[in-house]
Amino acid sequence: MSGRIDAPTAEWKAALTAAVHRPGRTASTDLVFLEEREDLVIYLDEAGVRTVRTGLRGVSLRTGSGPYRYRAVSDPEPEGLAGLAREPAPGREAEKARGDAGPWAFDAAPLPAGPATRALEGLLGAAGSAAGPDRVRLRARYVGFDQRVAIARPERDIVADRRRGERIRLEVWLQARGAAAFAVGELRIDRDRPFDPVPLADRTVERARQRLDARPAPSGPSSAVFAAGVGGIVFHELVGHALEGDGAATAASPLAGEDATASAALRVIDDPRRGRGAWTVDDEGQPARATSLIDRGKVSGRLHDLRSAREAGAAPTGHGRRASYREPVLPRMGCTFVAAGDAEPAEILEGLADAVHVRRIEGAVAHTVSGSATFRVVDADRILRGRLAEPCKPFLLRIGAADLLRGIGAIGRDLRFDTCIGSCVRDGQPLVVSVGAPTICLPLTILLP
Amino acid sequence: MRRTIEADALLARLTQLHHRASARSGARRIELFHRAAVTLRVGRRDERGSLTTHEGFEEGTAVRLENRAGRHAFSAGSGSGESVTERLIAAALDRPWGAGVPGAPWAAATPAEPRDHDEHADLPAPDDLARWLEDAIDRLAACGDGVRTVRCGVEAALTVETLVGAGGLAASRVRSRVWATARILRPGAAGQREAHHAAAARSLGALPVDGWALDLPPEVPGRGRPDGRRLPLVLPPPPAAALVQALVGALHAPGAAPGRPVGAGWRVTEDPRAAGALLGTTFDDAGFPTRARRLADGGSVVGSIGSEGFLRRASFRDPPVPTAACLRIEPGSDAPPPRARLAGSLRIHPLDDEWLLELETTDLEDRRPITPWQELVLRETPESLVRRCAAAAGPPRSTHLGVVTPALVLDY
Repeated sequence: MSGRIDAPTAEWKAALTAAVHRPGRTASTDLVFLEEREDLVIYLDEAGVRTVRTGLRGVSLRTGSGPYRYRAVSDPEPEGLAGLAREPAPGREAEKARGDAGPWAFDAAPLPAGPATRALEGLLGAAGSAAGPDRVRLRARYVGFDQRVAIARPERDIVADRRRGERIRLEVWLQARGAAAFAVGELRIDRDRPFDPVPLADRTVERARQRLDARPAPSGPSSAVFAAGVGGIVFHELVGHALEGDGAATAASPLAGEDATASAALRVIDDPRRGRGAWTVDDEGQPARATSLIDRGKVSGRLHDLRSAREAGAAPTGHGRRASYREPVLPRMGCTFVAAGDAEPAEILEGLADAVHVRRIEGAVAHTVSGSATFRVVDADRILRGRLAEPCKPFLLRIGAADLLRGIGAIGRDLRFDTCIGSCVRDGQPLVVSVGAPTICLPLTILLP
Repeated sequence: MRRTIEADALLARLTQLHHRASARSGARRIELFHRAAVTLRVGRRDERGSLTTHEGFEEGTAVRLENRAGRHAFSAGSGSGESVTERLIAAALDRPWGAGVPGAPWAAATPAEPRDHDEHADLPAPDDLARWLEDAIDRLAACGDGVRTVRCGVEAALTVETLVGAGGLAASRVRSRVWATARILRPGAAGQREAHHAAAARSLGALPVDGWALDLPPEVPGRGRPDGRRLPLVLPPPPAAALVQALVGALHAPGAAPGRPVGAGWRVTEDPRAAGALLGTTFDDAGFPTRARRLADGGSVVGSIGSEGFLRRASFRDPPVPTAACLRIEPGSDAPPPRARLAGSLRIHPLDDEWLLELETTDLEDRRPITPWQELVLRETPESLVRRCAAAAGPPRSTHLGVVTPALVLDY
């Protein structure tokens, strides 16, 4: 979620404003980016609880309109920013005074470890109860982050934004009936709703029981039905990356040109203001906005930072992001989703004689040159004669962008978000992202090997 | 932008901080780990673009402690100094780990070689990095065959890591390293082929500027691979390094039992003391002296990655954990087989207890390519894969992963 946050302190506002103004040499794309971030990870298993709380503070100055020049310093002090901006490189003057930390720019309470730990304990307790007499090993994890940023650009007010997200993951190893199986359940925590561990625990343990009967997946061409939420990963890889405005797509992708077409029912949107790492302004201070990527089956837009927008002659879309103050800005996805269609999810399965039903993907690699992607499917079922049959053991799924566009089948009405939670890594920069989709059938996939 | 870091001054300051924190905090013992780094990066994000430069200075502190009840705790954050340390200690004491949760062991004394400083630790100038990058791009383009560099970068870093703990532990490590990455396109029989290349060295001068102009044979037009042909699979050092890391992680993890059979080419050692090792060091990231450990002898598993002497931190924000960082495959006396399948790239996908290996391969006859590059997918367990490591061929090469390996020959 993103959130309102008070502006940085007056001392910091003055320093940020002064640092970004270089009389006679300022470019409109110059910016100062200040970041304060906290991460909290809590692990809980039979050995006990392990908490790792870490913080990150830093500031980056970007100058030039392309080529860019970046300068970054950790744990800054307001009076040190002037040195960062001076030309030529000031050497030791840019270093903050040794001896103590710089003052924080934002006042924010730390992520609550106590409630998170209690939530994990409740989750393991509920999972243990659900397992009953079956032998089970359980592990739970809480991951939370809270990032506050302030961005200063010439001739503009300083903008501030807050990006936060929390999630919980449960892993179940179950042994029964002479077999062993593994299942994962996870969900995004919504601070506005109390967390009830029982439904997550029950369905994860039950899924582990079902997976005791898992058999090897078939290989070769197959239709694949993606459970609600999961198909968003496919569109993130094959559509989103191809439409990042800095030319991540090459000529090989069918989305490189404007005339690619798909089912007229297909709409793909990226809206950074929703999802688990949502932002209201991007890391260049641009307002984030929902951007249509595919509308009525045709390419309708791209995701831009300031540079790619300028090069494309397009308006910025507020998708300029960086993994931290230490990295350069790139156009990145925020929350990529397929809009709901009008098919009943159950009816999507009914028409299929032999297919797979994909429940969970952990890991995906986009091959931008070939316009395809490979997905690691860790939980799926066989579909036989229109009904769910036995679970499948993990397999790889390969999908080509051309096949994706040509062959989209029914699109369900049950849009869901973040049923598989992950990060996107691009050029070595990890970023929290969200995806969403309804139940969707893709007839042209390949199961490997 | 600063270009130097005074390691000895940092050690003196951290020692003072540790002394004061130990007296005031109430913890049974405290360890402070500090990392400072100056980085310079020059890169290009697409073919049209000009070079972007990035200069950075970062420092961070990590606290590991044991409270009076004997429970471990950890926290980390940017910066250094008294208030940073106090805040981190307070955060750690607030959330000790469970009584049964093991933390990394505590070094009780300073290692025998506590001052592990590179002999020549300095940074190249941004202009030098830019020139190197442009030279590398030009050399690749000069190969012809329509090869192009799409996205690329070169980065240099000077890092100082300082560790102070109970019992008089005080050690520092100074390193300067250079890395280069590139995304390269080359025309193939079935359209564009993409390759990702990475290299690392101790200095810009030691980073091969023609490294991207790879030792891969060019495309060969023609028919695809004859069905059913079984050939040994040769992995040159870059994909071999990825396989070595993955197999060590699967088969030589801490506590792995010895005796499992391995192929004759699987003679592997973890050796942080090896001369020139990219990630080598005289002490690990918890202050224990490092040592070499033989993991396999070409017949069976003989060792696993231990704890003391093998503890590494992925970054200052991570606690130390057992890690293989300096793996070496012994070279063999065999030449690469004249008829073989040569791998250009490898991606490993773990699926439960099996792996799916995605490879790009070409068939060799008299060590010359006779087929276009094609995809090959293999399904193996780590145990079966290590038994297939029949030989190591050719000279060993240092890779950006820190693995030093010759080509590996897998028996198929």
